Amino acid sequence: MNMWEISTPISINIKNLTKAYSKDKGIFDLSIELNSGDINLIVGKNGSGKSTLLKCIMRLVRYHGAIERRKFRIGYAPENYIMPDFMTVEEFLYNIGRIKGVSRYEIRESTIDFYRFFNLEKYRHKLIKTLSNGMKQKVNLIQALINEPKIIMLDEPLTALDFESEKKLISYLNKLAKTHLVIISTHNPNKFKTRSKRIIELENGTIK
Amino acid sequence: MINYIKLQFNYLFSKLFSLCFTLLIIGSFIGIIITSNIDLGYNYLDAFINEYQFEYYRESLLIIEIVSVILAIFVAAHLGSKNNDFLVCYTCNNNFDRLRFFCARSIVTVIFSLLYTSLVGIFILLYTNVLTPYNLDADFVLKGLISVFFISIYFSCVSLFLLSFINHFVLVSLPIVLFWYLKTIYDFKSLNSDFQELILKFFPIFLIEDKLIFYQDLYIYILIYLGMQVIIIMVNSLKDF
Repeated sequence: MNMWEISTPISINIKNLTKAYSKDKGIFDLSIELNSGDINLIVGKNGSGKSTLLKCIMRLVRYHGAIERRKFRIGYAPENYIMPDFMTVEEFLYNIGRIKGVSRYEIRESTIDFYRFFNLEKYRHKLIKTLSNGMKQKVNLIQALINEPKIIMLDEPLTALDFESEKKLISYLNKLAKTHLVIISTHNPNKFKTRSKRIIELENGTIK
Repeated sequence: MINYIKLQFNYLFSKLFSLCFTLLIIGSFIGIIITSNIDLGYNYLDAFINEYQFEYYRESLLIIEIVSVILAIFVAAHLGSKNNDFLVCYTCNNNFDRLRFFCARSIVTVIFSLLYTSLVGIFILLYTNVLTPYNLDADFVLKGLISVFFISIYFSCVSLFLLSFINHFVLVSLPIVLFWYLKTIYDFKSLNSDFQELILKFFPIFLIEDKLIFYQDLYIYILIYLGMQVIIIMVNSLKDF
């Protein structure tokens, strides 16, 4: 797998972000700057606004406030990975890759690397509906990383992964975080054993 | 845009769907063959060619129309499903991407209806010319197929329109019921109720007399269709995922 390098620091500047689903659910007047170099871990209880924050950055929901980010390639792995059941893993990743502007050759090369990394070689021609939850999570992570993004946002990426895959993914993300902006929503920040991590704790939609 | 369209096509053409589509195409072909009354023999058909020819065209178009509209509604329901909506999370990170995603979805419903009507159109042209004693009225067949194509994309648009507000599969029964209701109308001049007139103002259907006739000018339906497409794309582009 290529460990693509970049020199310029990457940041996302969030100012007075508000996305209210109800009076006490959502994100309320949140301001924060997220930078590359450290792995940014967003933690908090269920309903604290972790996923909503990532969705706001991805512009998957409407919000008030400002999110300043330069036009870097983004990779996003949602928490609820609903995928087309009747597509094979390869078809799905190929289609997503093409939409993200990756060439056929690059898709083939990078998927081979990722299949090996996640032990998915045997499953590449299987229909997504036949995969276990853990396998689906791996496909979800690959689609987020397939375009060699400079901003990587993963929502609960460790869910459903086995111990070995968890370890490999964490080590991979730790390395990436040095040169990329990595934002991870997680309930287990302690699993990311690295000095360069920044923990952002959310409570009721604001930073604790 | 092309890649978004390819994604929607790949999403649509699963093995199961391809099988169902093939069976429906074959079913339509068989229906067309049966309506031609070829089993009565060339001599008999030659003697009553005017009566049988008109019936053949009328019934063939009816079969194609029913299959095409119901198929188009189901395609729209499949593409408008929550599963398909979720692909936005993987493929879009700005409003322009979303616009392209939902435009591609609408384009695929149109291409699909075009594919079906073209296939049965080619079959009718070949079959009528080669295996039946009927004179091919290419102009009539072409106008009929274009009308069927338009009605199909209109009803698929209605399905997508409803699904963009309330995303529930049951909702697609509404355009099917509406279409079925419209098919019970045999004459535009003697409509039973104001309700029928109201429905006909918003939903197109054609009748075959000596030529194809719509209840009102086609451009009104085209305007409504375009309006619905704009609303579908706007609503989907602005909603939360």
